[in-house]
Amino acid sequence: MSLGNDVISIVHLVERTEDRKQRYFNKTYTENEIRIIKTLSKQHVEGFFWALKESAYKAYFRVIPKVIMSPKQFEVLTFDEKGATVKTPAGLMHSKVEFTEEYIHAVCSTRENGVNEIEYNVFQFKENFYQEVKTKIASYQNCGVDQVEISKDENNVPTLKLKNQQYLLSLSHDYNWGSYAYQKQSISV
Amino acid sequence: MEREEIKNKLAEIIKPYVQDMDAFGNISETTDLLQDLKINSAHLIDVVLDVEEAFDIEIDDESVEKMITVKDSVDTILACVTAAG
Repeated sequence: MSLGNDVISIVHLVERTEDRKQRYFNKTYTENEIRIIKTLSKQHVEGFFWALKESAYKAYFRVIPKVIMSPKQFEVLTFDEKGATVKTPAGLMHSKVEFTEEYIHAVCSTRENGVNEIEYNVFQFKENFYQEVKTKIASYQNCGVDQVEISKDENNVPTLKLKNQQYLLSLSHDYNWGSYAYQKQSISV
Repeated sequence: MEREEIKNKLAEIIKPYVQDMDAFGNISETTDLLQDLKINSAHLIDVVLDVEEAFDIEIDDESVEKMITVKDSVDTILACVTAAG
């Protein structure tokens, strides 16, 4: 299993002129995605699609640690209120998107309904993102912050060590918004 | 157009998107746009659009994929500017 998550600060979404929006769309979306977007009346639709693509990219990168700078290779195939599916070079990702007036957050799994197996949280932070993540997880898990460790492998992919057990972890932050997602089931004892 | 001139112009373009100004202060050819400067990936295409406008060039999808570091980006821009004559 792999997972990913991404948070986007709505206030920092770039406003684009119509001409620029067209050029942005052509570089970012496949024809099928543009077709889906045109059927939606959602505000900040670019933010939704980017959060989906970026979270899928993180899940992909854990499986195949090769940098890909092409957003079109992470294609949103379906999108509705229940969730979305995103095609990636590492297979299909099953996603869920949530939003408020301030942020958009996407979380995804390689497994169908796998999002239900993921613990995730979105929060505001002021200074140390990693410390804030550890504090939030410790609070949720009812343990000391010293029992929460975050490490990264040689590809900068994070792992969570919680009460001496390891979990797949995905981190994201955009300006003062941060988020994390980790697999509920540990990967080792 | 000289390489150094392109690099300086690129730095001005990416500055508004940078979230780590300390890293921006130490920008070099090996600087990674996303990892080091903490440019949000959601803004990467906007950087590309700004570059196209500033240099009056068009960067195709294949070339965008190569723009990982400052060096990669300068190489890409240089190639496009040269091709445009």
